[in-house]
Amino acid sequence: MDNVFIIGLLQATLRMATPILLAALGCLIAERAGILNIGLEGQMLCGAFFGYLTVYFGGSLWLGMFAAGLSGVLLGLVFAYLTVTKLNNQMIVGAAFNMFALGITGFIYKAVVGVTGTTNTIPQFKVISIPLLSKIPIIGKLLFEQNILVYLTLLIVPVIWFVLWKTSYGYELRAIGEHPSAVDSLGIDVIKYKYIAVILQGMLAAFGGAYLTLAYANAFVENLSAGRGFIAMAVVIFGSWNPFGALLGSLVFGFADAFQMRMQSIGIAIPYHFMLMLPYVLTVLILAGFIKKAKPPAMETVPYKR
Amino acid sequence: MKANKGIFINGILKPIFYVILALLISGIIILLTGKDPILAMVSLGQGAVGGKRQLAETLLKMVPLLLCGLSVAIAYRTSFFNIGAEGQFLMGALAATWFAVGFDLPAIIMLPMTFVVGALAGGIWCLIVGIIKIKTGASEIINTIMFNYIALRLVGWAVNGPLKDGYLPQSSEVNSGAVLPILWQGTRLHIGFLIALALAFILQFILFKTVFGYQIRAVGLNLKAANYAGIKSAKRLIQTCLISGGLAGLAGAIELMGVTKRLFEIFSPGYGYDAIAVSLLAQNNPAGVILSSLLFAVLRGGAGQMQRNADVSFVIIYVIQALIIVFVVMSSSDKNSNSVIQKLIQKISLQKAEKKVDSKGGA
Repeated sequence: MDNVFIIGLLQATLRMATPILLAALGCLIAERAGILNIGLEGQMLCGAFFGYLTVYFGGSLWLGMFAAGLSGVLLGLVFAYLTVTKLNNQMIVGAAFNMFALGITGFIYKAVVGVTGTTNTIPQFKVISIPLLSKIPIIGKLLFEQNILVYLTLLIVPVIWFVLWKTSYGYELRAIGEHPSAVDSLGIDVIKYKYIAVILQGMLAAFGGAYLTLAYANAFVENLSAGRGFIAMAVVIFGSWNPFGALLGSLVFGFADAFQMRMQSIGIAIPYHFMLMLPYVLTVLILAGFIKKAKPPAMETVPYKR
Repeated sequence: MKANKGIFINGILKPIFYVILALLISGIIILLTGKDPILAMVSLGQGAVGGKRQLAETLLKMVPLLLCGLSVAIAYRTSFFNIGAEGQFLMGALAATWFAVGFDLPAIIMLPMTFVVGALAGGIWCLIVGIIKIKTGASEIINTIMFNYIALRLVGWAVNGPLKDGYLPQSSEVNSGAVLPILWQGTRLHIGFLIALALAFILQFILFKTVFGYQIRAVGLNLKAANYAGIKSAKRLIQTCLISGGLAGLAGAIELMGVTKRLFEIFSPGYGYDAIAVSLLAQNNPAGVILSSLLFAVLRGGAGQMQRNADVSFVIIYVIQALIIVFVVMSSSDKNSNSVIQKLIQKISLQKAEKKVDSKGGA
């Protein structure tokens, strides 16, 4: 356990935490407006796929991010229509969205990219070392030797916190999650807020997915997201519906993920399959342990009808 | 008479309409990728019911879908959204493998014992999530999914470790006493099919004709009211978790005893996840699950041939399933409004009714 190992582990922690954090931030915004979208997983998968597809066909990495975001926005829009306007059960629609995402990405991947033996890799966001800052011992390598998406995601955290807690928009959005009819009686368009929240949530989740293909694994495989969307939902609870809490929560999961990969590579005695279980077991433990202290928005998953 | 008609329209006519609509949209998606949707659908049908072998294989796939669909349906009745049938299915198969490989007794003991071991394992897997929900309020949706991944890794560990037999990552074959007898000679269809059918009817009876069934429905519809009425809701929820997980676990055991005979890493092709759509399409009615599981078995049964003949990836069936779910929830939320689908169905049924009146008048 030398310094190099620990720094590498912590660096990987942040790298693995970023996609979960992006999805968790989106999930948090929607939950604050009273909407729980378990289709988060599917939105991540779609973001990962459409980001990949765009770059695969020669688009730039940023165009890939744009395409991913667009797919998330569209999925969010449809989800909002089905649950906010049509008042359908959010759980059922979310479950259907996950299934849809699994099918449509796998189908288009096989139809367009094909299943030839060679993996179809794409270029990726490169690590950017920030001059001077990256020279700081330990912290420098950890914080200032990452890819651009990690930096941007870390910047979004305080921005979301600021908007939610320091502006009237954020105040109204949070009030909608607690008591929509009171907000409505002030003449504020509850439905509009909910739409915006769900669309933002779709976009951020899709960005998180795109991170997986454009900055992490430079290829696409079926069900690439592998439950990260659900883990992000647990992270939101862990962080008590607060962006900084979500940051902390995703770091815990990033660490679990990074740790199990490193343990495998140095060939420790714990069976490989048990290491793979780690993030999922952790989610269960955290949900069971933290939920009593954490309080969700009062009107979460309850459709609002004027 | 009138009530029967409502069941016919809502329970049979509407779902068929949604399936056709979902197939149509999927056909357009297939067309957009430059493949032939007609060929795809025809090969789907041929692959599913085109001959004795195909039909038997489809019915074979129906067994786990039916049992897992029942698992989701009964849990949903208590407002417990069990997305964990997949993990419970795997745990059932894992425990059944341990038992049926390790013990060699006559079939008369082996068969029921392996069923029980599988069902217990699945039941406990679901029960843990149920207890966590009651004790801490943690969402069963996230937890059942996490338990799916954990079960998948446990199976992976078992077939690479303690249950491994030979060089391949798989268990040895179950002892002959635990192999299910064949139901349809010349095919692989086994008596598990009859067991699954019987359980569907038993559950339908329990749910709608017994006090226990009434109580679990009451808990699902309005927890507070059920508590006021003196129903022990936590106890009912725990019992339902055991039954729900038990059904999925039994499905895993039956799949092992009737089809694969061995446990391996990718043991389930996703039956537990399909089961969610199966149950929702049947509006969580056990008897309806029989029909919807048959439909999904047809989709799965024909998907392979569709992939070979029309070069359309079998995962398109997930798109079809998702569309069906969305249509079903849309129609149930639109009961009082006037959606296009609703109007169309009303129109068709009105026309039929008018025709009936006409023909009667003529006679």
